[in-house]
Amino acid sequence: MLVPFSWLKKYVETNSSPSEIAHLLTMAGVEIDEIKSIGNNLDSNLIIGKVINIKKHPNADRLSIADTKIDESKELSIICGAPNLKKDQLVVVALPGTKLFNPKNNKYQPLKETTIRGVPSFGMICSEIELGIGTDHDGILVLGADAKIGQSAKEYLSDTIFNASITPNRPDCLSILGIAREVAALCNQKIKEPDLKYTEITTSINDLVSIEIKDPDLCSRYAAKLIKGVKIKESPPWLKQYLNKAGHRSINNIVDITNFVMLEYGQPLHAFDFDLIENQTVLIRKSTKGEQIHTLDEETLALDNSMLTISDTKGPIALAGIIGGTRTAVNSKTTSILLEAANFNYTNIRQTRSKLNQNTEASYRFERNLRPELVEKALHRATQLIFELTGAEIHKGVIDVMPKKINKQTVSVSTKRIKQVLGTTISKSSIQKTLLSLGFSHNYSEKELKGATNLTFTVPYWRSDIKIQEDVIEELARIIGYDSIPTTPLASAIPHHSKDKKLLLVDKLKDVLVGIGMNEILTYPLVSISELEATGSLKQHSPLKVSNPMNDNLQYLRTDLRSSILKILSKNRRFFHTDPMRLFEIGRTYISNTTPTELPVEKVLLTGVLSGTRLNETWLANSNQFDFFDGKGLIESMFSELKLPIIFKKDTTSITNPGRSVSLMIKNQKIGFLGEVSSSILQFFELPDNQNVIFFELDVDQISTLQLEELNTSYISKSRFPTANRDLSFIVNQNIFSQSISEILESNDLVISALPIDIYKGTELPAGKKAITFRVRFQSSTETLKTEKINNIQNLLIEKITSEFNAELRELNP
Amino acid sequence: MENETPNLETLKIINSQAIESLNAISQTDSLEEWRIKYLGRKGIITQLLKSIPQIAPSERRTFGAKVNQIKNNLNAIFVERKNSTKNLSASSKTNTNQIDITLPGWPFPKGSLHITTQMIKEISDTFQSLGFQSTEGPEVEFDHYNFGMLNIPQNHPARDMWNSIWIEGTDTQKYESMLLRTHTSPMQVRIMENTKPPIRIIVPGKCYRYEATDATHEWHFYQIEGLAIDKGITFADLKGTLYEFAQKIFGEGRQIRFRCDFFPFVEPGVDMSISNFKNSSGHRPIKGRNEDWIEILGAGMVHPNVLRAVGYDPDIYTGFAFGMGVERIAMLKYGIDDIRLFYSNNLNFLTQF
Repeated sequence: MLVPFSWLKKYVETNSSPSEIAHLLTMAGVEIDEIKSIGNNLDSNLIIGKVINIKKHPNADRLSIADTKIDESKELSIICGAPNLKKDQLVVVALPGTKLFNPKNNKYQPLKETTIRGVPSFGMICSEIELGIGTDHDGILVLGADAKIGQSAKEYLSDTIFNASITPNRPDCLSILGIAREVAALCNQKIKEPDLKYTEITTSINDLVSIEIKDPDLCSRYAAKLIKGVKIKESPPWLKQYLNKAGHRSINNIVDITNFVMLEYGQPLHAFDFDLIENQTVLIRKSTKGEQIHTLDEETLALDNSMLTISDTKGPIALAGIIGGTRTAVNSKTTSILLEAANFNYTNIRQTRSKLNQNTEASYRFERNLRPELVEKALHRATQLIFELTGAEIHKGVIDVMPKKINKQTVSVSTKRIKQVLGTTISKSSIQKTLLSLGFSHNYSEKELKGATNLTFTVPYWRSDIKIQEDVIEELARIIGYDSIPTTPLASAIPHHSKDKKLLLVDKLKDVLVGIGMNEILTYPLVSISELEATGSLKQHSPLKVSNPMNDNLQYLRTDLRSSILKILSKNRRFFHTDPMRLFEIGRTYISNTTPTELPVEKVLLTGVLSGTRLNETWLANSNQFDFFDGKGLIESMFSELKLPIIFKKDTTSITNPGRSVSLMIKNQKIGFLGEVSSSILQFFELPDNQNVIFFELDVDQISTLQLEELNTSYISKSRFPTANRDLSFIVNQNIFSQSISEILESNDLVISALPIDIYKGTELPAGKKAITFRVRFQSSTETLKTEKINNIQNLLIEKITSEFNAELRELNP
Repeated sequence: MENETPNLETLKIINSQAIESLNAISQTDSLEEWRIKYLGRKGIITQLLKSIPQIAPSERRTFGAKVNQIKNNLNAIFVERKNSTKNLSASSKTNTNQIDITLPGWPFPKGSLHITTQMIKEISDTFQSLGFQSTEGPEVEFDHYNFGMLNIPQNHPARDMWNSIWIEGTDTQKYESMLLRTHTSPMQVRIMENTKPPIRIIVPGKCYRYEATDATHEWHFYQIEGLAIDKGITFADLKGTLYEFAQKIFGEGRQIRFRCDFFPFVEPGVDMSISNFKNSSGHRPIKGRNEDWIEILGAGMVHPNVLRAVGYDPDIYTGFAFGMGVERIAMLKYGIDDIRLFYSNNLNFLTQF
């Protein structure tokens, strides 16, 4: 909402600067987003003059010579070519030397004294464009009657425009008067109400028009004035200028007046050409299906039976509270006007305007719930302006249809409740003073006021947002100022909390992964159908779909994090080429509920990728790529930190290379998988095919449940006797898994670990064979092991393994 | 010399010759030769000591003392010289083994938490110190919780404040449709439905709006909701708590202000803003239309309608709620001038934090 400061000052007196007023308004809830100054660049030598005589230029048909009075004793002869030049106009005069705007180079340049076709011109009458305050170059700028001859044009024209953002609860502030009322309350000033007086002729509107509300639920008030003898013409300069500053285009005097009053009071109005209304009958009724209206915006709208219309006997002439129709629109030939001010059901207005996509200044105000009391004020104000500015005749009386009586709103407030909500007391006199300044009223005598603990006030007629005590408390707090309310620490008891176990696990997982060197990412949970298909996710779950997606790539709720992380990997590859990428995300996935009326299951998954060289390539670190075992090591490290026993089981998944992926198992439950991403997936995500992508996915919800069961961790006493290492190498078939051998080695009570330290496949061995070397660590909890005893165990183990796996012990070089 | 009886004068000459020749030595091997010549078992000084008995008894005492003094002195000079030579050779040896200490070290990988996670952690920690506990809630939410229970009925113009992304085919009998929650505020209702006061809780999480993305708008973002309900909680407590929070996050140098604002589920409503600043490139991280103050959170006293809807008696219980945009706070804290950086997840950005 644009608020010209000069307009605001018509209703409230203030000596404060625009920026001080803007600050007060902002703090009190009417946020001034922007303060724009206009006319700052005007040359202070520009002067207001009056055209007192116009002569034809002797040597040029299109030029005139205007005698222009610039003070009591001085007249200048100025040559002017503007088509709108008229006698008695108040205009802006530039004398030679005054700087004027040149739109050709965007600079201000001094005016030179010139002679045009033999006649000297002693100055210039300026247009908006030469003044640098507008784009209208059709003619000279004509000033309002309040301009004074000899006055500085800069002083007269410069203004400050506020851009106010009005919260949805304050439709009253979608008006200059509404904002003026705020200023008055904040600055302790009185409001100067607009003039509502006019004279009527004797014939009554009641004898000439019939108005009926057919749907009283949707229209609580419909009032109209009938005006005849109207002459449609241009609006006077002052009116045009106010509208212009408030962001409205001037159309003609009647339309401009309805817009002016809408901006002044916040109540939308509509003017019909009365002679075009069939049978002088106005019906406020719902549309019937199939009806249409051709609007002032030159659109034909098909209406349904929920929409409220203003109709005559022929059909709709306006979409109630939203937009007028062309059939009865005010036009250059209009002489009689039916002026409407009404109050419509705000919910219905909102529904209709969103169905028809017609967001207008009128609907914007109506859907915010205007008070019906505004109707008569605005109607009289517009009538008064039409009377004053067009010289039209006003028919006697008003038709004012109100299906239900409009009750005054009252609201009570107690000092006790104020203290309970705000934490501070406000004196009764302060309550009274503040609320009266906002337009509230009461009927208490001085004495009654003293005795009362509960004060009942009548809500000002323009406020639809004050319903309960707390609303009044906010009024008090914001006018007194939030700064005046004390600042205290929370003193009440801290409630008992038990920590959210899943949140703790997520924090822990993130810490562990960051410790390992992983970088966390957070991604959009909306994905495309092709991504879900490519990652095999569609086979597992049918995803939830968004009914109003912003684009095709953001159409489905993800059911896993696969495409999310692979997309980010791919995007980063453009910047990091072969550098190591260690990414992870812990995020939600959305699985539709088996009971469709329930919310989907939001499952938390952990996903990660390793790709590129294992370390940043330097003189120390070589260019080896991440492989399966980096992923496996990461998982092992993570679960060792979680104190959960993790088992890797050979498996295949839809996104990994066969033979290079495993299921991750805890206590026979599959909690995720790890593997090398297959080349078709790499291709889909535009990832280089010569770089391994090691991928893992874990179900955090499941881990959380398992972790809770497993939480009983206690200290384990370790042996204090020395350990002994023996390296044993076995030649086995290549398809033997090392784990099956180490399990046998570790099955002995005195073996505390058996780790593979070397794998050899090569020419020294028969084809199809490999040699695995284990470092077997022996330790007893009761004694220092003697060589002989170790030898015995070792021989037993060798025998067991060679027979079980058809293995052969390989001699190791000493 | 051997035949002559040495006297004090000869001692002086021998001493100066010994010192001179020691100083002249440049090689380690020659040092030992010198030692043998002067201080060895058959060396000049030893001979001199042996000759003491031959000295006239009247001079013997003086002579003996002088020889001993010279011996000790030469010995000390020799040791010093020998040590310095040793150090010299040691350091010349080091020269040949010197490493290029300017080469980069082993490239240990460096992990990082996403800046949003870090910011949530920092904010949660701050509120935890004020007695607030963290919890989470659903991102796919019923219209009923996202709007209805928060005093925002159907067709209320305040709904324009939250453009929603809706889930297809979710018109259910029991509730209205489902949407991606537009704020974390529905959790106020869910928490109150399941808990008796006192309540002090914060809820971090993702929120979504149907919105075009630009430098200050993301359709996908994080909020942290807060709620405190008990007997006797006031607007002054709201101010005190949020002031404390802002000071902890932004430090004491930034100004904080509370102004009146509107949210349907609170009354009175508050906007807390912080004084804007310029980042290292001289830009204001968030270019508000108002250049000096940037809103960082919305808050207010929980609306009696909301309390009543969850079965609390608003005459007994009062409380405040607040909601803040996590990215916005991070932007203002670190001077980030484009919100789109957060979820484009470029490592150049992420690893800065």
